[in-house]
Amino acid sequence: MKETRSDILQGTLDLMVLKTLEGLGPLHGYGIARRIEQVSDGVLELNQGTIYPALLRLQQRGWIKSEWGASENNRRAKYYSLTRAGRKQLETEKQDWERISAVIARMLQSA
Amino acid sequence: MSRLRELLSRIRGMFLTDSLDRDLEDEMRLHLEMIVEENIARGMSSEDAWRNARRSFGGVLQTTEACRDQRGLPFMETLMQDVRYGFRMLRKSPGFTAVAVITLALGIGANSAIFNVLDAVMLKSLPVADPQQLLLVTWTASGWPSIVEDLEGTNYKDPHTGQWLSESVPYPAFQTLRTDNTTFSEVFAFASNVDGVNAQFDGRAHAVSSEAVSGNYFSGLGVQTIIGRPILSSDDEPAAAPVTVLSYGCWKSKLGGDESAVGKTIVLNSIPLTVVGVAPPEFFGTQPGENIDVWVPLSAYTRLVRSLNFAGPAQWGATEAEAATAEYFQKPSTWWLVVMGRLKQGVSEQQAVAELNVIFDQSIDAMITSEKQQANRPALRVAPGNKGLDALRRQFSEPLFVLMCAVALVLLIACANVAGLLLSRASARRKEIAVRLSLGARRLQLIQQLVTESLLLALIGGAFGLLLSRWVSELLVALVGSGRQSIAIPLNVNVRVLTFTAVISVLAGVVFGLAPAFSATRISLTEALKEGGAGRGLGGRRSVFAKTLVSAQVALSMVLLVGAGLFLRTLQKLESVPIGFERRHLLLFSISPGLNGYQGPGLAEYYRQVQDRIATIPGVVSSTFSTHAPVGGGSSSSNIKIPGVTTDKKGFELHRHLVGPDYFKTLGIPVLTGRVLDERDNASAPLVAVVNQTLALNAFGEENPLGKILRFGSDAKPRDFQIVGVVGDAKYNDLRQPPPPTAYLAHFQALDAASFMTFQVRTSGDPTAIVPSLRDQLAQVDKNVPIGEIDTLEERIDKALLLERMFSRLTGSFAGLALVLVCVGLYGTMSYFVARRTNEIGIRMALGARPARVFGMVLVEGLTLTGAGLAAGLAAAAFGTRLIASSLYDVASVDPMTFSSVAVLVIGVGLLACYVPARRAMKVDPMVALRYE
Repeated sequence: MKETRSDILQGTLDLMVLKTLEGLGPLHGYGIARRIEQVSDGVLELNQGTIYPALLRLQQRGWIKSEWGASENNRRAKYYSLTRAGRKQLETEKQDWERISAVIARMLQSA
Repeated sequence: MSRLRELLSRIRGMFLTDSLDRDLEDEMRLHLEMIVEENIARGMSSEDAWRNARRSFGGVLQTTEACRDQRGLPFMETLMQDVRYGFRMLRKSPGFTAVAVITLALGIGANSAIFNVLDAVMLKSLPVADPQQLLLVTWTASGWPSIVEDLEGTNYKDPHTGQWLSESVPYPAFQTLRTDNTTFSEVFAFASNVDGVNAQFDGRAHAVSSEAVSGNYFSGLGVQTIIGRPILSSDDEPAAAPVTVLSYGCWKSKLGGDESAVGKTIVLNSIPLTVVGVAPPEFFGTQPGENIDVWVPLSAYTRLVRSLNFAGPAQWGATEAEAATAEYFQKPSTWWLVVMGRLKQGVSEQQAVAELNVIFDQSIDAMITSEKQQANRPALRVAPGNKGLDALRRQFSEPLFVLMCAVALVLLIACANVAGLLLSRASARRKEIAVRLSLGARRLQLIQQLVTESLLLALIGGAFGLLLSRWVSELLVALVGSGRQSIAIPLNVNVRVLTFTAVISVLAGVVFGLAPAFSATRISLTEALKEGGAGRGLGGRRSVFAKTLVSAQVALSMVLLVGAGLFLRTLQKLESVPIGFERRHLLLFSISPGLNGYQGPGLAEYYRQVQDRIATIPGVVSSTFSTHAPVGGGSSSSNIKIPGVTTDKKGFELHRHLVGPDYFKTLGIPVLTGRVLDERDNASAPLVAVVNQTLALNAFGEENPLGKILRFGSDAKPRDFQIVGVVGDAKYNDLRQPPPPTAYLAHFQALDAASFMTFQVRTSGDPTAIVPSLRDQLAQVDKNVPIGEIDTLEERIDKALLLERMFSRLTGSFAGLALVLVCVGLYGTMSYFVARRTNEIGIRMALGARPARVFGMVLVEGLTLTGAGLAAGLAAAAFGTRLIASSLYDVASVDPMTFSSVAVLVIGVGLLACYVPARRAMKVDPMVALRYE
């Protein structure tokens, strides 16, 4: 059987969360998880719960912040948004990722 | 930066667990509900929608756990858990916990106590403002500098470099150091001698101690008075009205802590001074160990001591004697002041030293007239002034170091003991540990848990030890303080003492906890889980370890016991050393009427009157007086000529004593030949002397010493004393040294009557019984002359041997403590082995071994452990006691008597400790033992 869904690469979840918040602005946990699923188009196996430890970690490092607000149907939800430090971090991580993926792509082609 | 923020956030997370958990729960519930809503909107049934939601979310519990881990500090949480668990385990076996805690409390308490005293003596800074800015001026010279004609205070020769060291400088040097420097905000000085003075407070006479200080002493130290004002520079002007600042203790004891004491007049050596202030309770001056009652300005000092050195009725105003005194103290050849300075902000010590050097050199340049003087020229040095003078530190550094070593040994034994206990307890907990291991606990986790338990024990032990130490160290200081010189050492538990106690507790916990923890978790699971797997004989690594621990304890306690034994033998030898006096029923007291202005014939008349008055007291057999008291009363030595014996170059060194009538009879010194001194030897009679046996032997050998001449005085004005009698040797200054050649001269034939005397009263019964009548009689002669210390001769001897007795008692109690610990350790280990081998013993007995044989087997095993420790201990002791050889008297550091009695004692204790387990082994019932299997 052909494996079509992949586990999320260690450390890339942070990058995805940061990018999502950059693109869409303040979002609650469900929104972030849905967005990642949508973009991955079913390629990534994501237990939605796993984003919560990631969100906590990003908050602890000061890259995102959260505040309680009202959801679309007026329920109390926690909204996460990018901080200035988060934007900078996203920039570095993006560059890192591009450098590494370029290296890996070259590697795979040359082999 | 972001990592730091994470850490802080995690620490915060540890304390907000509940509210953060609730937030997360809300968030996840909303998340699930949103998925469900979307699913229902897509047409799923409510049931399917929920199932799908839970699947795509993943485990709620796992998420919660993951978030909790992310939130807090996992390490801290495990630690808290271990601590809670540890407390539970300790509570479950209260017997073990009590023994371990008591053992550790004794070990740690002893260390903490000695450290507390060490801290107070060696480490503590003066209680003044910014003590680290203070520098102390000292000097050193390669040979004794002859430009110093009179030196007061301490001087000593460094045994390693042969250099002379002192802190005393002359007054002119102080003046130029103070006025010419640019690097100090204040340079101040105090007299290096603390002088006893006769004082009157509210009309009552007291003997108190005084220190003369420069006018800027208090401002230089930054010490404020609690009432009134300190001594100021204006008080130190030659014409200033005489003032004094009282110590807190003096104010409390002599004036009852009266708030209106400021402005009061007190009389010191017949000179009235106005009290201007009271020093704070913690301020004892700048000479640790000295108990100062009153501070007076330098300007008043010369007036105070005038009556001491140049006896004369002291009236206020410029008299000839006063001028002479002032001149004496301002001479560049009289070195008597200790100088300290407070560095200006931003000035380095090097800059200051460089400048002081130049000033000091200039100030003594004029005095250097010969090459020899140039070679022995004092060179200025500075020392940190934050701790004041170091006489006390020099005196006690070595004894305290030895005591610190002794208590460190006690703590090591305590550690080994508790390690042994833990080891046998680990066997009792084998099943628990095996179960936890088989349930998947990692070995490291278990070790962490076990070490946490040890640390808990150590910290509880440390806390109790700290309580214990307060009491022990106060006892220690009281012991030291009751000595020859009264020594004031303020004690308090400070940060250093607390840190020390905490550090040794933790160290102890790790030392005794780590090895048993490793050994306890090295378990073969299948074997341990099978009941009865314990009976595997005495072999195995753990048994070897336990045996080593016991032997090590024996060895360590041997070292302590030998040390204590040597100190005890030293004390015994010193106590029984012949002193040449009749020890019993002799009362001593000192008086200094010279300080009240008595001089010449009046002074002699005063002494005669006192002696006559004493004779009227019932119970008095005879009385006498002399300049030096027997045992610890000091002595004066002279270099004299003896015609026919000495040459021009080399004189004869002897100790001399001025004595009153009835001296030899009262003290019980036997007369060997000739006659003693009596009333007929007065100022108009020919000069005579009585000498001791050693002098007679050293100077004249086999010749008859009677009629020979001792030539005192200078070549220009010789004073020839003819020897009229020879008496037995007696010890004055030092019990350890053989009696020096001594000459006794009649008090009435001295050039000047001595301004102070020690009276000696022989009684028929208890000498202390006459003290009240004695005080009465003296008050009738002159109520303004206070009586100094009153002692019996036996008390004096006790005081002279104080350090030796303290050492003997302390090391004795530490060694005793060590022995008890070893006994307990040996008992515990042997009992444990017997318990583990119950069925082996049962089989042996079932096969016909007689109980006596089993008894012998256990005993031999225990004695083997003791013997191994004994051998190691003897070797270690033979090496270690060399360190204390200089403190011993008439005992070799490898004294066979001490070593062998200690060995016998240890073997005895070993037998005692093994007896009960061996009896138990003998009583094993084969049937019961085998059924147990």
